[in-house]
Amino acid sequence: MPVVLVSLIRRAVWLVGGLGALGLLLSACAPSSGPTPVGFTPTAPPPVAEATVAGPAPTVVVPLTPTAAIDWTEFESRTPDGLYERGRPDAPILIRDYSDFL
Amino acid sequence: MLRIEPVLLAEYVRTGKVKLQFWHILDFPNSVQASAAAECAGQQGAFWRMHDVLFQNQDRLWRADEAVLTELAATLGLDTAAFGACLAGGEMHERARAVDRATKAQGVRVRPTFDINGQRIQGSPPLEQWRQLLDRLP
Repeated sequence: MPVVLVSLIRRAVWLVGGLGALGLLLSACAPSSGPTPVGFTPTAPPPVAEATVAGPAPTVVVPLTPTAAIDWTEFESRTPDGLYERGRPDAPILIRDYSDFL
Repeated sequence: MLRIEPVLLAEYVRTGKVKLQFWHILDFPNSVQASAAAECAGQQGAFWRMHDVLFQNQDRLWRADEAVLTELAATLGLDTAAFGACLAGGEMHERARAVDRATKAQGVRVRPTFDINGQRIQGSPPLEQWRQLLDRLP
């Protein structure tokens, strides 16, 4: 009788151990199902280096009136190199005037 | 361009078709003084108005000293104290010399010279030629 009892206990231990191993195996094979992040914050883009230019910053006057009303001869601005320009900033024709005042 | 510039301004710059860009050439002893005066006026937002006044008074510029240039600045209503200090400082003289070097580095040997959207014109063409050039560009 004791022999039979010991045998039953051993089988029960093996059964419990086998079920535990099977559970571990199944959990390892199952797809990840962790919690979905809430309040996801996008990663900030990497900083972009800005080109540096010599000379003073351009001085551009922002027109307050519609284009048709602007007299572009009064519109004075500077290039990044500090050259003075006169006229509509995006005019299709650029005339470089190389001159001496004398 | 002195005589035809008012026409180009009225017909092409005012309407937004053309933009002018000024490059100094310093060919005479007093050129740098005149160019510095324009740059100093530019510090007060009046480069082009001084440019116009300088060309209108070109005969006076050959021997123009600081007093004459300050007098011209006064006609534009500029702050003459600031203008005089700018001229005396010499920084704008160096600025004009730097632009002159850049001009000559681009192969400019004749004054005036113009680049019209990259097309080089030496000397000052008559008004009709200007109109032909500018009217056929977009």
